Amino acid sequence: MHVFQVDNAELIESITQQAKEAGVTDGAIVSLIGAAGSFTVSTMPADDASADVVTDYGQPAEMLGTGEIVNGAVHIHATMAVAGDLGVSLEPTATYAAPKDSRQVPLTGKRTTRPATRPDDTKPLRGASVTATAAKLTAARPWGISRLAPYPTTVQLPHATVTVDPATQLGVFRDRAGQVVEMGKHGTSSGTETSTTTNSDSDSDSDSANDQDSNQD
Amino acid sequence: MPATEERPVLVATEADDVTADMVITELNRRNVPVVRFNPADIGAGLAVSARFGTCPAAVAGRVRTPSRVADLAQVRAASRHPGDAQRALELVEPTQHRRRTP
Repeated sequence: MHVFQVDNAELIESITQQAKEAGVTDGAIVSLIGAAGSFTVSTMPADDASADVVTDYGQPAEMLGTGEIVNGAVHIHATMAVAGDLGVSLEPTATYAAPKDSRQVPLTGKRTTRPATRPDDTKPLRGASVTATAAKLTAARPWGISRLAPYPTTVQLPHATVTVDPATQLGVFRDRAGQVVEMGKHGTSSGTETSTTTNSDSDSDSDSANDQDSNQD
Repeated sequence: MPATEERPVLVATEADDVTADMVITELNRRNVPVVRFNPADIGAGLAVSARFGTCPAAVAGRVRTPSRVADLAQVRAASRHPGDAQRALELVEPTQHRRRTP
């Protein structure tokens, strides 16, 4: 087992160099932990697994990741935690520098799209299904949250308790003050939908479908 | 303890049931004894003892609510749900209450 420490350097470059010096050409990076002053990540467009979306983030982040070394090439997937307790999952490709004073930079990366340029010799181990796990989360509200709304038809029940009257065996509805409230009578509902009719005269074309309708009172 | 009702109708439903109230109102109008209970109240609010033996032992048992007592051997009809309202009235007076034809 080797422990590589990266101080004030670009992450991939430094690990590649240290692995080479340690004689490691193939291996698993079982743990990657630390912080970066700025970082650049690579993800894929939603509709194209063969392209990379490269995004530069000019702000510091905590980093947790794992990866592999294949034929000396370092390949890392990591999750970056940035200000506001937000996480960015990604495949970092470059530019890990020492922390600097960039805390005011909002989480909006500069984004470019380029064709995939990964080394051919790593492709057998890095199929689309593997690299597809890299994704980016932004601070946007989940879409479903925007769909939330109070129930439009809530009603306040007029009674708080219901008891059975000993003399009549009827339900007695009382409000919170103990006053009997009148619950009214059950309404009746009647369907007023029209039925489907089919004209027996096959020459005419006057069939009509049914309309759904009902009355409730 | 309340007196045992004479040939009562059992109405098994919850207290909050305005449909059952409509049935019970009609039964009261006809002076038919009603014992209303909620099976969920069994315990302090409802006590049941019953025996369903083979011949010659007859059915025996009691249902006791805080306000009423029914002798199971005397029960004339039972309505278990507001959906049974029409059926309950039929059981009480079969000739006068026909189920509406669909």
